[in-house]
Amino acid sequence: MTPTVPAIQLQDVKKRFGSLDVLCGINLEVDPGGVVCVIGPSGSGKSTLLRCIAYLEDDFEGKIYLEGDLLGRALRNGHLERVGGAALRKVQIKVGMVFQNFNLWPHKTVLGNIIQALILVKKMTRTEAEDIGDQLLAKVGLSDKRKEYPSRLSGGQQQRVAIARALAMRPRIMLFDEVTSALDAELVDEVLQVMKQLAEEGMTMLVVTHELGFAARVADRVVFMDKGVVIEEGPSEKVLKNPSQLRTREFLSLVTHEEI
Amino acid sequence: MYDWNFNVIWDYRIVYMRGALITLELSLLAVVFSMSLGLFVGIARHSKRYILSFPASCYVEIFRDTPLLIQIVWIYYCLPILLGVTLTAFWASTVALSLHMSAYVAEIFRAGIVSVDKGHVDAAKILGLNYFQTMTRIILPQVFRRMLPPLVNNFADILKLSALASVIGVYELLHSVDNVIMNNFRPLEMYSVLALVYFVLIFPVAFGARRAELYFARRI
Ligand SMILES: Nc1ncnc2c1ncn2[C@@H]1O[C@H](COP(=O)(O)OP(=O)(O)O)[C@@H](O)[C@H]1O
Ligand SMILES: [Mg+2]
Repeated sequence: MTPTVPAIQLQDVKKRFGSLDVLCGINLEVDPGGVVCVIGPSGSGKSTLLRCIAYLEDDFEGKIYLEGDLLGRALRNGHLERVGGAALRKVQIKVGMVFQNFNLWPHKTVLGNIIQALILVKKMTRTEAEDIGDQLLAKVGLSDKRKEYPSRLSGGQQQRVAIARALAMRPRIMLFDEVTSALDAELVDEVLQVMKQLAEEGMTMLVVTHELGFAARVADRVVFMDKGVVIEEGPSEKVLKNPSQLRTREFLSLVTHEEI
Repeated sequence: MYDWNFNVIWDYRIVYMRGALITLELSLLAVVFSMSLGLFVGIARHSKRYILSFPASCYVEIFRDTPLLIQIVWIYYCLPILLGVTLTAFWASTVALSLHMSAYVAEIFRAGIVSVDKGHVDAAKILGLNYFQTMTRIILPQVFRRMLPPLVNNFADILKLSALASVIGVYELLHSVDNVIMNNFRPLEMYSVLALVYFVLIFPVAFGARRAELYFARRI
């Protein structure tokens, strides 16, 4: 058996904003088709971690491999150099991301949001793109909303559109950054349901979330981060039920307390 | 007691019409030029690259912080000396007005671009849209609605400021009327009607903008 190439691999990734160290040497691996949840207190660098992997933050140290390809960097004569253009795009295109605030474009309809990149980036015709858009809308259960503007949708519906928009580009890896945190409690499940389905279809997912129930049910592994460091990482059952680190235990008791 | 006499005005209706035509011509050209130029300067000013943003900032400050009157005179009289380029009074005024107003337009665009949610740009980036596509498909269409009122305001300003072209002898509204006053000695009547003519030119612009704003407000 050949060893599988990890879908995501981070080697000693560091990121600072000014004098603030936000990521202090992150090492992380996600297997193809794996679902990894990242938990941790607010400000611990979880969003920044995802943003580096999506290359929204380009100014990090260390290496990020996506399916074995270096993201935004190339090794030349043993030196790590930045690359842009096509070399970057080829790797970056593997990633789709969904945000806490949906970030749908308000001046475009639901369908318009989904097909925009297909037309501009994949150079599809409008008809081809709309076919794909309609398939995805059916998948997230929003076919009847295709011509609506985002502002007329509930938060849960908007987030499902955002997921459909990300999926339209056929990413190999999906990043979710607290995608249910801005939602009213009764709308959380419809979004988690879509994500669960996606996980079952074998999508590689890195999910920052406070939904420990989702982490327990869907994730293979859980990563606990604090102050820019991975404190603990392991099978979700183990980390959530029987963490080895004191800080993980403290955080979990705090979060579970809030939920009750 | 001043003896108002508006009867004489009718005889000069053609003067008002010709003047209004020149004022409109001058203003419309200035609108088109200042909008295009202002868009680029505004985008440059918003750029993270200092080599773009710094010159753009200088440009804005220079043209915004000096009187238009001096800019008109300067371009008309100094450009031939410095560059050997001679412009007619009409074109010198058009250029000056365009440059002056483009500084304001640049600020309107920059403020608009800044006001767009960073997340919308992040989403575009991840999906693979390049800078130009993001600007033209995601940022500017959103910004345009918000910028409509200040841009229209700007157009109204341009129509009024075009009167300054009179100092170098462009026969726009003000200069045409001034010319007549020297003959008929009816400044109060002539100026009163002049104000009315400006109003008639500007009011529809403001009114149309208000309607457009409401139309867009309903669509979002
Ligand atoms: N663009 C930025 N500029 C400066 N500081 C930032 C920026 N983004 C995040 N930070 C800081 O980095 C730290 C980690 O933020 P973030 O990654 O959002 O944490 P989390 O998602 O875990 O709450 C915080 O202290 C935050 O203030
Ligand atoms: Mg966050």
